[in-house]
Amino acid sequence: MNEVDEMILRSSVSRRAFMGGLSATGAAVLLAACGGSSNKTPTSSGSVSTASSGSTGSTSTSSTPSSSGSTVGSPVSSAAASTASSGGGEAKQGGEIIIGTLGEAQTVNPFVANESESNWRVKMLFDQFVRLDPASFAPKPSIAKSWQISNLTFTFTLQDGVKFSDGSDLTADDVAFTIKGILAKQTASPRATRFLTIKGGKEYNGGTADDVPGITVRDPKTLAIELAEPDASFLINMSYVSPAPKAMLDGKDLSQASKESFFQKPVGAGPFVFVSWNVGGDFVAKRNDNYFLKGKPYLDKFTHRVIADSQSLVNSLLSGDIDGSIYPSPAGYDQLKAKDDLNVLVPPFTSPDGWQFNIKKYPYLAKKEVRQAVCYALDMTQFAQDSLYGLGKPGTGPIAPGSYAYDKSLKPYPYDMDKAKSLIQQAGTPPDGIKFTVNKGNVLREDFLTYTQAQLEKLGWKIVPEAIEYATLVDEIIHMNYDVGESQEVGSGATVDPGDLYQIYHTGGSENFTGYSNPDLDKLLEQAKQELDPKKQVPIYAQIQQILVEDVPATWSWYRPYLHVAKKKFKGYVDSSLEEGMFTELETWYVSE
Amino acid sequence: MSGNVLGFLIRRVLVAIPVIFGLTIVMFFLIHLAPGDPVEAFISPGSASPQFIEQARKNYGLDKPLPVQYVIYMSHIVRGDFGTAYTFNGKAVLSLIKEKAWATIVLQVVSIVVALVIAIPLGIISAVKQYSFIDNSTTVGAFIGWAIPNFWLALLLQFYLSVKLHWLPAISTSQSSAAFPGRIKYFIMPIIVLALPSIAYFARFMRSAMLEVIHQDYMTTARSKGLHDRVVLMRHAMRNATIPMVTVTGLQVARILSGAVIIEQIFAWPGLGYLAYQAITQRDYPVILGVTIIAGTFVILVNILVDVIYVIVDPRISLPS
Repeated sequence: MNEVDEMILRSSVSRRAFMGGLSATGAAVLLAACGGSSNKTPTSSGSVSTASSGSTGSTSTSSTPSSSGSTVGSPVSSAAASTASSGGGEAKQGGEIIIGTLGEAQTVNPFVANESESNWRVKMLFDQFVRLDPASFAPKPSIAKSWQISNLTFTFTLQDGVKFSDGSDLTADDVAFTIKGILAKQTASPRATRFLTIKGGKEYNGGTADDVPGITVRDPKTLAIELAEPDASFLINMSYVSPAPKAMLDGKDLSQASKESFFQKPVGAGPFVFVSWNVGGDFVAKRNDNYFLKGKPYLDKFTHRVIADSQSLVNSLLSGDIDGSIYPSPAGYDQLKAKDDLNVLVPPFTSPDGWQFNIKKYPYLAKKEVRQAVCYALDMTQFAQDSLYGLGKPGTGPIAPGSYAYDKSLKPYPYDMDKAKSLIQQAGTPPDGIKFTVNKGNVLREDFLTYTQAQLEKLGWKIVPEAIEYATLVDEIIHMNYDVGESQEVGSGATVDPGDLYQIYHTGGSENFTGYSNPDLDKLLEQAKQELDPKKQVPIYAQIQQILVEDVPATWSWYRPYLHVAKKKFKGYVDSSLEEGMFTELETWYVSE
Repeated sequence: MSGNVLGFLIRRVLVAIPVIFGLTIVMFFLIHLAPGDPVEAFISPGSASPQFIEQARKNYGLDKPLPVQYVIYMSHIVRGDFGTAYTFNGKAVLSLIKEKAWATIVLQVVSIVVALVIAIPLGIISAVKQYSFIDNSTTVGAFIGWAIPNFWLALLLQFYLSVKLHWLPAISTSQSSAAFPGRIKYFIMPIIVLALPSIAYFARFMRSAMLEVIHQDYMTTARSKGLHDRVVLMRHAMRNATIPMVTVTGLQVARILSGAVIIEQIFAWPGLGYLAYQAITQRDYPVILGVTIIAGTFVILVNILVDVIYVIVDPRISLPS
């Protein structure tokens, strides 16, 4: 049981690290994921128009941003049958929720927040300039009411009546201030890489310029941003702007080391207002009565509670001590399902888990036949059945299946020992002592390691299995000091933004820790990065995926199953494989017994 | 005699000071020797370039050479400033520790008291009625209590008493906000798990201490004087057996701040062990240092106290003047 708690702690941390490690470039996601994806796709409910009433199963009315010049695909709300709650009961104000989490957030500083819990709390307190639809990941209006795109310039119009929780108005000035704060050199923000394509952003970030010429405040409700180059990921990256009040922070230290009292008692324009934070225990926030979506949030307050032991987390859900969580181990599936008052959901899969090869280090691993042989030697269907609780599945490629850019024609590598053997013969005898490393305590990965070892033994390849501490593994991978490593600690694929593949697989990419280099792929990645129309990106990404699956610099072997659980009395939400899962839009939740 | 005791106390405190300094040096350099940069640990890999890492290290003063960092750190400590946490929302380390220390101290003190209240009579009875049923079952119970892995017991209790029977809350996060009588239910499971091995330990120790005393000559003398059995027991045996018990209890008390990390984690008990655990996984150096230095100092001070009490209580010990 102790292994379970560490497993989920580690897997959650790795998932957070993965999510947090998405890089800045990529294609803009303006076209919704096809509603008919093979996974259960929930309906998107809840609009973001200012005058929303508490409607239940309404379809998303994300306003189509008008554009002059370049095309912007119209967002389509996926309307597949919902497995998420919504439906039943009237949305009315009242009720509270206690949400359980495994890891504590590190900060609520919107300039530097970088892991799941911090990111979510920042969203609740500060909202986002642009939001991502929980189901399709398409950018949709939030504090930004609409936008126009003309060549390289994005002109945003803000919503009316957006106020900080202290009553002051939120204007384009605050948004500009926030972006610049993120970019500033002294802030040392991990979010800064997302905004480097803004004109002057790189120089400002490097400390060689005093301001960012690409950001212009036209009037209190209009913000214009000019890019230095086409960047298809730009709108997605604007979801990382959670505006903070310039009046309270101008000239102050915005870094993670800051001692500003603002970050102990933050003031934001989000649906909830900070009440208290007992670090390591409960984080409490209550409804923001000044929230620009009138009538929302419905819940009076939420408590975000840290329960570091994963078995304890499952027990707390079963005993009713907490109302919901996105972190229970899938090992608890049967127990949780058996509870009448709990809604247990398996969210759509993210990018798969697997092995990544240090191609630079060993000429042997640089041989494509060797990497393919590893894929053919693994019977992932069997592994999924045995070790993934019947909830996980064999993986197919680097992009998550729910993404609009996912190539549906991809198939997992079939299990073929003979083919694997002949490929190894072609490549030659494997050298001794090649280490396969996972992070200790992550049970599913340790199982995968044991399984891989047994299978490769049949090929006559004796690998050295290793399970080391999480931070050490990350360190090794970043400095390319590993042989074959667990692929999800630093990310080998893309879930929300297919553009992440650029930095991971482009020659010399900032997140290329395999050393993979393919000039043909480089050209395609560059093409995709500059193609703003998602419809036109799809065939480019199809080619990219096919090349990657053929070359396998990393294997995309299995989809990790997660469990999202909430008491049935809560309604109005959509489940999501975004990092906050169903809690992404907590302001739409309401209680209906 | 008290003058000597005072002198003894002062000498011990004076000796303790370099020990504490040594502790800070060892901890400081040991922590920085751990692989992995703390900055890398809390900025996700890949999302920050070497330039950011450099700036972030500068923001935290990590770019200076290690001995310089140590001197800066110590100069703050002697003024009572343990710095601010890297994570934990940048809270001041000392106030973090103060918040959490109380919860741990309460838990540990109560569990030690409960353990003693149960163990001492058990130990006495076992000694007096040696090899009887009570004695044997206490012995067996002691071994079981020692052998049971505490996290297993904790999860078991949590599952049956909380999930299945709904008698008790599964986690103790809310215990500080509950008013007194209602608070007890948050204590029950953690106390059971913590006290059990202590009961085993104390009972066995009391038993052997008592046995040693009971067979002494002066006990026979006392009984032959015609004194009542119970009087003999209380006045002579127990008082003498108490002396080693003081040492043993003192050792347990010294473990207050270090113990129960896993129990605190399982029951989400908002204490110091849990804080330390999180700080370690998050590479939060200031917090790790703060907790270890304060806990270490506490242990040193408690040891001094135990020695002094021992000297006071045991009339056979005479101190050099």
